Amino acid sequence: MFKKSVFSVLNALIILTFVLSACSSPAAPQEGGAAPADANAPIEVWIDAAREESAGKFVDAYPDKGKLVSLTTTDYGQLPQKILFWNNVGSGWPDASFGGPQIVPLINDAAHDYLGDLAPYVDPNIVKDFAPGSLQNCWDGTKLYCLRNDLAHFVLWYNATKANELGIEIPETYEDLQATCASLKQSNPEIQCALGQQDVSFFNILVSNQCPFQQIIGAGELRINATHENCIKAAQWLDQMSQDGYYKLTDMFGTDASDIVKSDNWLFIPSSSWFGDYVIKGTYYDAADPNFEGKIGVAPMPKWEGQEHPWVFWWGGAAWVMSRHTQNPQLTADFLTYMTTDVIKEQGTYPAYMPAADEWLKSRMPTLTYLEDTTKAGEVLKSEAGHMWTMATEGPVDIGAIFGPILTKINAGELNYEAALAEWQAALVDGAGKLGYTPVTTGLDDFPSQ
Amino acid sequence: MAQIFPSPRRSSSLKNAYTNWRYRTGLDPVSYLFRLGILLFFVIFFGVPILWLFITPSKAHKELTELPPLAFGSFTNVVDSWNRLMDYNNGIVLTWAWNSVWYVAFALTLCLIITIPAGYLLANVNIRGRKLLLWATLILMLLPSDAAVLPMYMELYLMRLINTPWAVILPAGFAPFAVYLTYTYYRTVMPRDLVDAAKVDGCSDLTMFWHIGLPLAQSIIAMLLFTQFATLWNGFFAASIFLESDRLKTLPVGVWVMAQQTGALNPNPSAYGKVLLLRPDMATISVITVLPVIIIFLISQRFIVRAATAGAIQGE
Amino acid sequence: MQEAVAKVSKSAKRRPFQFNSAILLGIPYIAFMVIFGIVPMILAIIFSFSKYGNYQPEYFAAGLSNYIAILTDPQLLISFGNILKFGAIMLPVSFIGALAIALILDLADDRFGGFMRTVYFIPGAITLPAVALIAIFMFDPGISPFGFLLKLTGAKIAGDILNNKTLIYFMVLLRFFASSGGWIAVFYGALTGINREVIEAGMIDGCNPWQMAYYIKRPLIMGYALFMLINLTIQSLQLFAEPFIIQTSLRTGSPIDPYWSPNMWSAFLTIRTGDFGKSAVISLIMLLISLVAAVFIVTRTGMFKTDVVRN
Repeated sequence: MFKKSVFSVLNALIILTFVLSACSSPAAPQEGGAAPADANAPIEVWIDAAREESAGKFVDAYPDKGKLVSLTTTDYGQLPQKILFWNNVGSGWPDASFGGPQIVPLINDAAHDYLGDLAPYVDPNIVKDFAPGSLQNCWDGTKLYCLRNDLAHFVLWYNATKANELGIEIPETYEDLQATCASLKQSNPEIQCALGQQDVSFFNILVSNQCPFQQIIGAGELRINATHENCIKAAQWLDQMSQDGYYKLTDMFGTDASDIVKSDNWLFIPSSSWFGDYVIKGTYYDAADPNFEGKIGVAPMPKWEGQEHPWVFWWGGAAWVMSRHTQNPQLTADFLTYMTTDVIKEQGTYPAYMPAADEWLKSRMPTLTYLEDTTKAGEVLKSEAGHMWTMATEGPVDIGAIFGPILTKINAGELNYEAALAEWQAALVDGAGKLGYTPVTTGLDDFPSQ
Repeated sequence: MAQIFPSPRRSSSLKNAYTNWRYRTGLDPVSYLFRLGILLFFVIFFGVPILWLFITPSKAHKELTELPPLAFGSFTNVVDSWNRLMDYNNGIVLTWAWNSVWYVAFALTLCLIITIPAGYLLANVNIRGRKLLLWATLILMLLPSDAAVLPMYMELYLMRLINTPWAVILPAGFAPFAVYLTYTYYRTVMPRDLVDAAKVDGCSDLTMFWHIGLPLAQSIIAMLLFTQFATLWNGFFAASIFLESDRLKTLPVGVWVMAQQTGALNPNPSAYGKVLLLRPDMATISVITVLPVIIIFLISQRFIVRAATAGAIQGE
Repeated sequence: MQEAVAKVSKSAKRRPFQFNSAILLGIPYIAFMVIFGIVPMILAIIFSFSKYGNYQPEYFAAGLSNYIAILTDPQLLISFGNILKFGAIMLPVSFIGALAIALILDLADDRFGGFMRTVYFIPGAITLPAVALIAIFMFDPGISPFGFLLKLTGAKIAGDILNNKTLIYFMVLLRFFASSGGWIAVFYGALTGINREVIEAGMIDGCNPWQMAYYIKRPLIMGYALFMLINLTIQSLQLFAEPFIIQTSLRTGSPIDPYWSPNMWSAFLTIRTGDFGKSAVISLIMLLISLVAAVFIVTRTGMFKTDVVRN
């Protein structure tokens, strides 16, 4: 009895301590506002292993500022989740962090309340020089919440040697692509006209025709309109192409795709800008193989008839964010600017900052001997970087995860892409609700074109 | 054995060999073959994927799809794979491995010291609140770990233990599953008559624990060793949530970080940098991660003692 | 003997409360239990009545709104329906499977036994991301060692096999693969504790090894088997790893959405939205159901009974 009461008293005391300390955390800054600035305060930045070396160069370049920067190598993917824990105890946030492409939509809500405005601390001329559309999801009104690290825009990779051999012209519109594939099927049925990664290719097709399947349009409101006529037209095209066997949508990292590519019976792979360097070379083809030299061509993605230029999706594209709890925002912003505009040109993927991208192309393209025409490839990468339709397709809902069960049905033959749109719409609306957003399910015309 | 067989003979005639074999295994040939068949089926079921895991480090990335699944590649690939792993973040893999070793060693010791006496208490000592403790243990075992994450984070934060190894070691001391197993063990292995008789003789519970419970603990220590070691070694969630810096993490969490950040499992373009880790490398590190568990399991099996040789408590 | 015991208990009742020094055996456990078990549970209950979603939590501010929100959410029935389907198949398969294999192994005392037990145990020893890696390959018809079996179903990519109809069976397969080995090893430990005289008595009575396994050994290790049953029930209710593995390993469409099982839904709320209040509600509901099941098993089988005389 005595022991029991001792324990219950202990329990009560412990709980009381927690509740009181949590309710009145003295260290926690006010809701919403930024911490007072101190130009000599040290900062902590979360990075991943791949960026350790280049981040270290900041210290070399700016020794005075550099010694205030401490780097933590960790799993940056955990940042959104950890922020929620830190909010509960009132401390622990890093001043800045590397993040995945969706980082801002993921944490730009009241529960996280983490993002700090970079706009006052970054030179507007620098901000101007990021690829058009790449900072679309960094801006929230007049607040700049992230700086884009790199881009992974879609381009059309193609089998140049095969195309030359068969005398095929690279199509400029989706309608032309369909026609090309149709005639190819007649003349060379063994060749797979187009191949693509299953869910990403679908998203790309939708984006190309400006389908508004997710857009944050205000505090807590999410436009989800996956059954808009733009979406239906694109899905119908995809259904036609995949039914006729012209466009094979599969797992590009499995044996199904690699067998086709290795047998050289393929023509087009619409995929991201990094696909060539990291999948075509490496998974499908051996870099040392002499036959691989000059094999691959790069062209802009097709557009729809009537469009001025193509719109493309992107498969990647990291970003850097700053915390509003930071006590040295200028230093933090300087560090992020350095990472995205200076050392980025040495990284492995296409930089979002255009001047750095130019240098990246100049130094990197000539080394890629597997390309048929490196100059042309560079030009394509550059021009397509400005054609990403990021406005209405990036948001807090994980479109891939939500689309997963629907894709399973498509693979089982229960649905086609057009019919899938309605189900996907319902699932997206449900997903938005679970995240606390209010779905708006109409319209495209009430926002200006990018 | 349906009939009592004569004792084994030393001469090597076929009939005697058969008799010896029957005596040793105790089964008729049909039963034996049936048993063998079933067990071999399961060896294939459990073993082939493991075999695949152990063979994969010997293949180059492209060979994974080119060579047959269970074909061996070459040793140079294994060396290459190891080198790539060492290259990743300045050989942090070794730090992770060392962390795993000493965190688990401390955690396991703590767990055994706490659990064995507690299990004995619940099985054999009549104190007030024994049933209450048993129910509390059961209820807490049923609580989803997800519910405890934020509370433990807050507690550990108040104790200033976040991002220290103790955040991973100390929670391991509370292992209701292990206590239950120990409780079940002692209930099965210590007969009532002995316990009661000893009490009538004036033996106190503590003395009984010291002189009987502990010596008997060999088998349960072995069982706890392999169940708790595997759980602690592969323990994922505590290490990933309560630790922040890479340098403090354990092997399984590190493996997960590598998988995420290098596109070894799924493509992660932003991670494509200097060190490109590929699937065979994931297999290599997974093999390294699983080896200690296998070794501990094999060692602990030696300590599971057959009741016949356990000691004098059987049959007074 | 009986009178002696009765005398002891009678005299014990007359004595005033006496401090049994054996409580020392349990003090460390109680301390750790309070810190890492009881306090978190109490806090979880507090959280379930608290409001989250606005940077910092407001304790006790939500009243019953979290409970109402979860109990009226259709996702609740969907998620629990999923694990019910899983449990209905997994429980009998795992329970009978592990028990049967352990008993069959123990039919004869030969060299193969130890080797096979080790092989069965290894899958359970592999860490989660490694299991995901294995799963990616085992399910891809092109490169899996079991590819010829998979191709019989006409599948070309992993996504072809793991569809809505076959999903549950594959998850049961994964679970059986990963966890049976541990239980088989525990049963081995239990079986070695069986008194040799009992076995010999059975032999003299004319039992063949199969009858021995079923009528003698099985009941003697039932304590452990029931413990396994409770654990299987908990695992089924708290299902997280298998759907997670499948979702991770399938790059092109997985039948699993982020809230497929209640535990995944709770994790989603914790990780994505920071709504610890609602996630605590889901966890407590899971706890309640597990408790009902456990109480059922415990009281019906007398798991907690000992014959130790109480004061």
